[in-house]
Amino acid sequence: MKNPPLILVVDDSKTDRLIIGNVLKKEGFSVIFAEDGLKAIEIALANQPDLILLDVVMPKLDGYKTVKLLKKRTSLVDVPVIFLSASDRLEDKVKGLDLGGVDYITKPVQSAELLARIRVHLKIKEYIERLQFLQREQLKNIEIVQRSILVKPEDVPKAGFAVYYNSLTGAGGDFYDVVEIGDNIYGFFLSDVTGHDLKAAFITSALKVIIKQNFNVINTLTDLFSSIQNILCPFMPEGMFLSAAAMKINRNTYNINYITAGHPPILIIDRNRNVKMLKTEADLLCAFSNASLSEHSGVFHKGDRILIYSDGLLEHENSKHLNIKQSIELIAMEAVKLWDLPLNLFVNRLVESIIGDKSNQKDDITLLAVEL
Amino acid sequence: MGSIFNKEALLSRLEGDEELAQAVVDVFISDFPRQLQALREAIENGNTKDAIRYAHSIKGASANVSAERLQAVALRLEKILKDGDIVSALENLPNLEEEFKKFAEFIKNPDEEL
Repeated sequence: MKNPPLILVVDDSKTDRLIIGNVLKKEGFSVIFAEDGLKAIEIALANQPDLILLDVVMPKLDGYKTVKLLKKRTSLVDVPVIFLSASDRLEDKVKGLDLGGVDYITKPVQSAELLARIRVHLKIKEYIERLQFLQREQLKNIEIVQRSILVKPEDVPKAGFAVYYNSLTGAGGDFYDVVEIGDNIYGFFLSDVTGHDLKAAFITSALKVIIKQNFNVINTLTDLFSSIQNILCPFMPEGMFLSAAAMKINRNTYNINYITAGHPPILIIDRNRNVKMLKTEADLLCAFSNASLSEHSGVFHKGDRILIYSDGLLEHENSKHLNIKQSIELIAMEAVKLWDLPLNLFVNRLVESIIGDKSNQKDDITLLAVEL
Repeated sequence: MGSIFNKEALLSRLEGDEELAQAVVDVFISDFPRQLQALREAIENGNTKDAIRYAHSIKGASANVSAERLQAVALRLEKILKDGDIVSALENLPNLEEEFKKFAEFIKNPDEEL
């Protein structure tokens, strides 16, 4: 909110502009004017007013059409619009409010009413701005906490992994972890909780604890996923669930145990650029009370690269015309092309080549690559 | 039909600001001939849509200065135009001009009987 608040008065009538302008200026508001709808949009975009008073009947572009165009601009969508009209017909008022107006004042304007209504809507706007600010701050704090629980490749150098992690809102629903669970045996975990708000962020913190306590030599991957089901799911809010993939990699024998639950398949690309997809048939966790879980294993080779990723890498602007299978094939294809790059460069380039510009991202994206 | 100029109503809407009331009336009087001309041209060219809008803004401006009789004539004209009766609208134009003259005269000499 500007100080003093800036009000755009849109009216083709000279007498109205004179009256409204004077009444507002006398109360200390800053005022700018437009004589028709087209000019109003131009001036609003250039000056970002705090509130717009919009006449309905005007030449060129009437008030109803103007508000529709104003509300299409992201920078103006939250600016309250109060309609001014000589008509006190119910259907005209309802139409104005339906189109995105916050209020409706009938002409001729009563200065006391005009000021009272403007003050109410500016107060509401200020509350909304304050609330949005607090929410952003909260999300920022959550992001700091979340980032601190995400392990970096240099924390576990012998695990031989690289990662790309980008949360869409700050409080992400994606989570990954890499733990050393035995001599040269490493555990990898990646999950995607529905939503990316505060709730999702708290759940990822809980996952961190569960993994710390349960991802070890004694437990199988099936045990790990059962623990998530039994410990976490009872506390999940209604309608929230998660997909997950996990691997236990023995770097001495190149034996890999893996499990996926409602998650995109793990991709393995060998030195000859052959691609394999690893997947187990389990449902999303916490979606059903008795999800059946089973893990598989296989022996692979030194130099093979293994990719686990969240579905943000499958659903983005560039994948609009692709089905899931085609999106996965796209990842495999690009990964083959970039195979020669060092692992940390490989993950970043791979995401870049698939998503393109960051604005195409529609969900949190995590890509974790391991080299055997 | 209301009064030529309801000063009390105008002042009440403007929270008693005499100076602003005077300024609004002055702007109205100086701007009216242009508005009337625009309305006349629209009617003569058979451009009903524009004519309705001009009649509407004359009605609104008259209401702004509490020129009640003028507002009533403009309202009647707007209705006639909305009915698409261009001939009737042409016949009513002089009434509008006549009422405006009375208003402007009244502002100049408020004490004279009209």
